[in-house]
Amino acid sequence: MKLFGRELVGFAKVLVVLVAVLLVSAGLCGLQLAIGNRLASNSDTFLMLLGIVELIAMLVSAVGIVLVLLVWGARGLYRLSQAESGLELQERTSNESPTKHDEEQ
Amino acid sequence: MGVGFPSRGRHAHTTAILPNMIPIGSHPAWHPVMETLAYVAGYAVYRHLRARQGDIVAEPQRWTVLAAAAVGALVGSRLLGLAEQWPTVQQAWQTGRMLELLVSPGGKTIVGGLLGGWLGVEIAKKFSGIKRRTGDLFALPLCVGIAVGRVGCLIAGLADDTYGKPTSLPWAVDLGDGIGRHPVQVYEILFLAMVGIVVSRDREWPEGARFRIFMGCYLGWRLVIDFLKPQPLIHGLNLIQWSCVAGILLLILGEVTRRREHEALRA
Repeated sequence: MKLFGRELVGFAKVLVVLVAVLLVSAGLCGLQLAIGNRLASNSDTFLMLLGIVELIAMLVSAVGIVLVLLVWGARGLYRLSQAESGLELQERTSNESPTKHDEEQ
Repeated sequence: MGVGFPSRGRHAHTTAILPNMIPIGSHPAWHPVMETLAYVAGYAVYRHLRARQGDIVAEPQRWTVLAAAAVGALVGSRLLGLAEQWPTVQQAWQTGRMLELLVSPGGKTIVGGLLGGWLGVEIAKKFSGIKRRTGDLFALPLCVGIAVGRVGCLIAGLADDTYGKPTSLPWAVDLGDGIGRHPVQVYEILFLAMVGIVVSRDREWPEGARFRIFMGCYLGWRLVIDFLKPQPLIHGLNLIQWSCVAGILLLILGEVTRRREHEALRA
């Protein structure tokens, strides 16, 4: 587990970036709403495009956060189980080897 | 810090209209701009501090802490923000507009973000085996970030849920409804400037002390200053104040545990 942070630095960076994108895009939706209210129908196409881009950014980042967390957690658990099974194997080998040695004698 | 869903109908206060109010008005479009600037400013200060002072944990571990803080803050700020707007949440649930509410801007709280971020980091540290106290590097960036964000709250005016109660003080601000109000955001910026000076003092602090000082000061401040905000109360305090109480109790508990461990090690 100690390696958790060191090995998965990529996940952590991606997660920070995704959270920043989600926060900013969610805020920009408000900006778009406010601009839309003020400019009325003068710039409908621009605002709609802006809104679509923001919504996509929000959705992609939100889904991305969930996915990264799931993959990160799954990888952590997999590493943990691997480490545990490695330890078990080591213990078994160390328990078995003296018996063989005894038999040979 | 939350534009959108201004649903509590707090505009109904009536006081004498003062001729010398500072006119500010309500400009919600600036809120997200200042919020984004707040994140940028906070991160810039953090980078500067880390480059100047160095770090007690390796870079990958720091990124783990940052990620945990970011996710925790996101969840915490949104959860407390939604809890604050409980009637709106219920209404959205009944009308099947939950998704719309969840993706709507605003409805985030700083206190929720701080507590959520703190909890997220503690969980990540537990799982990652990080024993060091990693919060010191965040104390000053948080002061700067929140202060910049509060400028946005002030400019957003009545569209934001953070405006103050009516007052007849000479520095009352008019947020567009002709009522003089406490500029609570300005009070907070000044307070954060003081906390920032304290936590950035060039002296030997125990590990984690700068962050604990920041959290204690900020939660204590919000506990007091929120009495100047017209918010619905539950047993005398609003939801954010109750969260501050919980946060302060956790800080005290943590400090007591830390001292006991320290004394046990000495013995």
